Amino acid sequence: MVGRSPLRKLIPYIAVLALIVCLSAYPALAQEIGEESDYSMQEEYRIELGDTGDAHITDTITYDPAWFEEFGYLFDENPNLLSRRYRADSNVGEVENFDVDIDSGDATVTVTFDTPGLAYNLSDGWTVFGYADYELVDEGDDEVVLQAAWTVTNEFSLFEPMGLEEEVVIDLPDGAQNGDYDEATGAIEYDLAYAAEGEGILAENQTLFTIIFAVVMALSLILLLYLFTHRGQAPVPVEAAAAVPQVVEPGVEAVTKPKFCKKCGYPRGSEEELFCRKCGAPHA
Amino acid sequence: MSKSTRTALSIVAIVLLLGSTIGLILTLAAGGSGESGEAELEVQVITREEIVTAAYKAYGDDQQNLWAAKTIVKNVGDTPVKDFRIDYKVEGYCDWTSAEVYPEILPGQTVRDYCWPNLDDAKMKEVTSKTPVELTVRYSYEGLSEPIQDQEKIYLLGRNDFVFSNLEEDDILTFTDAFDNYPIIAAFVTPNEETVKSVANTMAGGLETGMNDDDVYAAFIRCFDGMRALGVKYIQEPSSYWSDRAAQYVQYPAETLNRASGTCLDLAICMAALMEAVGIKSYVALIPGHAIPIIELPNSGEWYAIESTFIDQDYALSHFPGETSPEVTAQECINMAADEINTAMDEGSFILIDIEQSWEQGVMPIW
Repeated sequence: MVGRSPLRKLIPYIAVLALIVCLSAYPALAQEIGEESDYSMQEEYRIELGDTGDAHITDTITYDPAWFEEFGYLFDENPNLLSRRYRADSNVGEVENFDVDIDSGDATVTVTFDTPGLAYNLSDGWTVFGYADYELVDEGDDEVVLQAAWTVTNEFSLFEPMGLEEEVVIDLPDGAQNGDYDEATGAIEYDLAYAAEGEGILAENQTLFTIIFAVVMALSLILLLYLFTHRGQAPVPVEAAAAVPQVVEPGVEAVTKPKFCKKCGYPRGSEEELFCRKCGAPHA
Repeated sequence: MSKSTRTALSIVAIVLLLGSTIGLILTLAAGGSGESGEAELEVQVITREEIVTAAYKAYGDDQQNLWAAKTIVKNVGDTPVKDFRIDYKVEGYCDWTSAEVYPEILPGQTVRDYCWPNLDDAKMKEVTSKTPVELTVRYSYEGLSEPIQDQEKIYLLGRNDFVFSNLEEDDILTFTDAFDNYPIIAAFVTPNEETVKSVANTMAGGLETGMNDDDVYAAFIRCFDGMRALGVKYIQEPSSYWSDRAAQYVQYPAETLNRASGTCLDLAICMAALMEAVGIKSYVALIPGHAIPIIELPNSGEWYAIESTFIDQDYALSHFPGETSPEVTAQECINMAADEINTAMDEGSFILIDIEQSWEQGVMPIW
């Protein structure tokens, strides 16, 4: 084997070096960073699901401040870099309203976009596919949280192999139940009852509510009719009042003042009333 | 009953009457629009611009992102669509495939469905130039009297056609970007093809190529020398008139051996296939304007590259006078390739195609 000269250790990537060299940005620096990075990234990939399976994605990547201070300018100087994969023809219909925000102060890059139909409405509930090899952190009616750690070599790491700690937060729609992560299939599943827009429970229980409202309507009508038709009998009738026996306590003299006009029999308004309001005869 | 009691009861009765009347109207209206409305779907069929015929098997693997067509279905009506069924056909190349059933598509809901065609092996191998084919999407749902069919045109590249990158020109920022489709190169490495197998076995006869580093190295040298003995010449690649993008006509190893000629990429692919045919892990390196085959020794893990265009001794001596001995030995070509690759790595212009890894990831060889 004398004379054999093996290649030095090959790495299947050329790190930030490649980008910097090709962009002629900072070749001197490139010589110093050809090795695998010691830096790492943290990512929060938040999926907010609507009630028909559409999703709004907010992907926040937080870099090491020192790394970002040194290389973050490349994101600003090459706006196509972070957007080109999302703009690819293969993403038609899957990436809408795409936006990128680069925050040098916080050393973060935030990507936002919408994906119609991310969750599939299958016979046994709703399913979001594509999350194999994650570890479950939390699952419930409100959200499912997954996490994973990778080494990535892509636009976000400027083609440098870099550790990535990723947390995926799936915000389930209002009213969702039984949020569950199926580790075997890498799918997130949940239940969500369907309510036609603007109709809700009325449409689902139409017969029941029709009967209830009809009965209430009938009863209220009957009550109203009763109240209106019996309006004139409400004051105490003369005959009835006259028939009420006078209760006199033993030992106490009964009231002798007449309660009705002696002449015409019309009820006396009060004891202070001196003349009958009907015939004018004095009560005394 | 006092006057005040009667007034209160009257108010309660009026409120109940109004409330129940409104409720009854809403209930009847809700039922009416929810179930008896017309189903209304927006269906958009998106096809891939081209199918790379050399890597046609990858399009049938739903673990890859290489769908042939995508259908976006949106329910824009006010009633759920039940029992939505969809499938696809590539006329003459794949019968009805990728059938899916969606039990219910709610008003406002979008469904994304994909076509992963298992394209016919024999017919795909016969596609020698860019060929238009008809892709049919068929779908139906409850209440529809008969299925609806949409036709879209899709193009199969010739089996030797390789497009380097699908990125737009403005988006190509690095050397790697210019060869964004590089994993597809692995589809041209065909170790199980009969000619390749036969030549490889002859060259590596008597060597332990699965476990012995010295024998693996010897097989690498023999392969280089053997191809030279077959009279293999280096040629410049022809222009890719069939594509408006950076592309190349790439030969399969059997074609290179039968024609006794090939470009740098053809020769690198051929050597990689011969090495893989006898169990030696191989790679193809891309550097600016050039391709170089590499092997990895099984025990030490050492890597060796070789300047495979110098198989053509005449080319080496006429174009690089004084850079090698008149014999242009394999050892000299190994040293030269190491220098080329190390320089390219320092410049950041280097792509390593891991053939076996690409196969594992679904870019399976055509033969």
